[in-house]
Amino acid sequence: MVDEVRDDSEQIDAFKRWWKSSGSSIVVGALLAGIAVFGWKYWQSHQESQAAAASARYQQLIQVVGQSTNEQARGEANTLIDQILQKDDGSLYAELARLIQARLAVDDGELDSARSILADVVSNSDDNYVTQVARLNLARLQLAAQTPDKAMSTLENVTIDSLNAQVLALRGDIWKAQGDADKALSAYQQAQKAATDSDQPIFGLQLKIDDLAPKEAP
Amino acid sequence: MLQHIRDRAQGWIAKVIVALIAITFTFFGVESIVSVFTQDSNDAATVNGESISKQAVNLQLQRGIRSGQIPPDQEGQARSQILDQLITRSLLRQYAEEHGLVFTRAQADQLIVQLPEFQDQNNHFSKERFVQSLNNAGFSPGSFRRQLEDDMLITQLQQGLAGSSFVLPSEVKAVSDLQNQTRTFRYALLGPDDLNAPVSVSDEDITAYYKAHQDQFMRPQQVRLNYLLLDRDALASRQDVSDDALEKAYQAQRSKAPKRVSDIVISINDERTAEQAHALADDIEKKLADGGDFAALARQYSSDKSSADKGGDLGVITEGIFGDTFDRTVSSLSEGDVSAPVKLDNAYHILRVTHVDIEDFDSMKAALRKQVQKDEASSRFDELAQKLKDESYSAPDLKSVAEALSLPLKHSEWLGRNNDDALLGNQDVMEAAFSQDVLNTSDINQGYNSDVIELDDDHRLVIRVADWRPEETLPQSDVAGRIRTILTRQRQQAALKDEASRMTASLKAGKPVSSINWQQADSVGRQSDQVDDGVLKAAFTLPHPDSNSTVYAHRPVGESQVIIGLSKVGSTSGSDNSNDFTRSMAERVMTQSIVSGLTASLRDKADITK
Repeated sequence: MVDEVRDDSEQIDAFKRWWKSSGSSIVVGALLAGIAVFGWKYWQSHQESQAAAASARYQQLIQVVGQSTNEQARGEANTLIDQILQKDDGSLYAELARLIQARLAVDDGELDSARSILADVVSNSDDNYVTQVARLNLARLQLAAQTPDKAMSTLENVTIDSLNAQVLALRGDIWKAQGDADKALSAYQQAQKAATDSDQPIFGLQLKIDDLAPKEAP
Repeated sequence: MLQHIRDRAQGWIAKVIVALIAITFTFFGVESIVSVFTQDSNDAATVNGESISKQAVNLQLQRGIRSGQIPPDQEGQARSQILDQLITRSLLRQYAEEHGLVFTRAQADQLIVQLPEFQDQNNHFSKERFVQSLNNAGFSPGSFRRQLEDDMLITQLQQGLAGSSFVLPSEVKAVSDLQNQTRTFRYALLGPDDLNAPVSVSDEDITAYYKAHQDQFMRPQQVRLNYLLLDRDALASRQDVSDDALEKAYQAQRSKAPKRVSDIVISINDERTAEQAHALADDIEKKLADGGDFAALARQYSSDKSSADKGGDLGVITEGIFGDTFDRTVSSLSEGDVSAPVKLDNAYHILRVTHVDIEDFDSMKAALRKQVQKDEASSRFDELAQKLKDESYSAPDLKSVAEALSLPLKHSEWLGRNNDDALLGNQDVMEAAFSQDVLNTSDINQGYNSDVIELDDDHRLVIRVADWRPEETLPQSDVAGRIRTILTRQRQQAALKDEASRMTASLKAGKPVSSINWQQADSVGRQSDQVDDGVLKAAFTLPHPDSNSTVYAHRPVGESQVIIGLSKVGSTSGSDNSNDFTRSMAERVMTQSIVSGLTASLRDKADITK
């Protein structure tokens, strides 16, 4: 196993010489490594507790919103939302909180403020499903605010297939608001097909289709 | 060999290799290397590279079966549903984790402690209960917590989306305006009887249809079965029951029935030693035996002041409250009986049953007979079930088995594999009937008796094939009648439609049709009961008329055609109730589609292999 056999004192001497030349750098290296490990661990646990705190705040929010939407609950929810936006800015928690904030504004009848919240989410977030939902909701609010053109252009960027039926149905509403019954009907019919395909009904869609029945040829 | 490697391990290539191995181990653990070599017949599916093991699917399946949510015979279907759910869970969890959602161990622990399922009567977390509940559900504490963490991550995502969904007042109004719409129209139904000339179907038509639709007239292979059914209830109803047994059953019921009890309590306390208490209790017992009034003695002597005031009355006693000795004493007493003094803890009690809450013997007789029959039939049933098994296994027919067990041998109609016979339509039965051992198509008599089929706890069945016929296309003569009915109906429908569209065209041109017998509907809503439902639905699919004109159209309604002349579309405000309902339905549907839209979008993008 060992290349050359030396006696003990020789080995000790060799070790001493070696330690003299490289001992200090080893100690420094070990120290640095220790600092790096502890630093990393600390940073990790710090991150973890930050994340846990964010999670806990958000958990509380969805509990409040899930239980009741009376005025007191809305107040409580808005306080939590403010905390989340302040402390967890840029996270998906914050984004979801913004969407909930918009919904609370709708409950309060403040459609303008709901609109500006969602417009803000849409322009400041990376694209993901939640952002797509925000766009869809924004377009609905834009239509309700009598700005069908804006609604239509917001919808341009809702591209997720699984929201397709919703998008088409909303296009129908927009066309109808703009007085184009033919296009509205066609959009509703496409929406109905998409909704059937994805097994996600859209409420009242058949009523809208029936009501726009075209005149039959004499 | 190691020495050999060591000698060579001086070159830089060797060093790089060693470094790579070291790095892989350090950062990715042993699994990363092991998993390369164990690619993975053990996976039920992979979701974006993450595996779902067959074991996980099985575990979930077992849990479902154990909790009764999955009937054992639907295992196959449940398995693919479970796999689907697990894939959905993985997708949602991955999305949540990728986007920085977390649910920590500490949070999970906190939640577990708060769950009412794991709490004792004092609403404190009970570890025994926790472990017990998990065992029952097939979890270990660790696996439960991991599942809970995942669940909560997914919940955060889904509830966030649900909590953010809304419907706008304008959207609700758009739908409820349509729902509250009214229509004024006149209508006439044209049924098959209104056709001027009856439709005719010739023999050639029937032949042509028969040739074009051969598959409709294919009859699958069928069997006729002989069978023996062992039925616990039927067995029970034949069981003789003696009056003695009834009396005994009644006594047993009575000892368990709720009883109203009075109690004279003689406490052992500072004023009385045990001996003195005992003596006093004996004394009171004597007084009672001499005709003393229990209530009066209770008022005078009982140490339990609250019951003493009521003549010792404790009310109706549920078993288990005062302990075994008490319960045993009470259950030995009939109505009006008084017990000897019994010592419980630190007092002597004299107990009297003042009322037993049970109907009298005669009115319970019928129910008791049933119960005794059932009890006695139970062992007989097991005995016969075993005998059925032994006899039918060795017998060359069912007749001898029927005689041995004195069961009636029954005979079925012709049965295809898929039939709706209440007893024999059972999947296990049909599987047995068409199995190789039971059904011998070259010689029916060479088939065996089936195994004993356990339909449920109370029914055992053995079948034997009595007759068999192969799949065949039914001859035209057998189905001519059916074809005639089908064709007649089709042609009536077509003729009616022609008739209706002729009339409608004429009405549109402004020419009245004298043969029409109009009925009028004024401002009726969608839910109106003044008009037949099918007609009403049809009327709401007509286009809006211009003012002062009428729109005519015809629509199919069941076997008939309805001609509708729509003259006015109006509206009502609708009740608050129905408008609220519209709102909440709209909200629910919207929430549902936003939440499930996430799952659908993840599935669209994901790399899933099964």
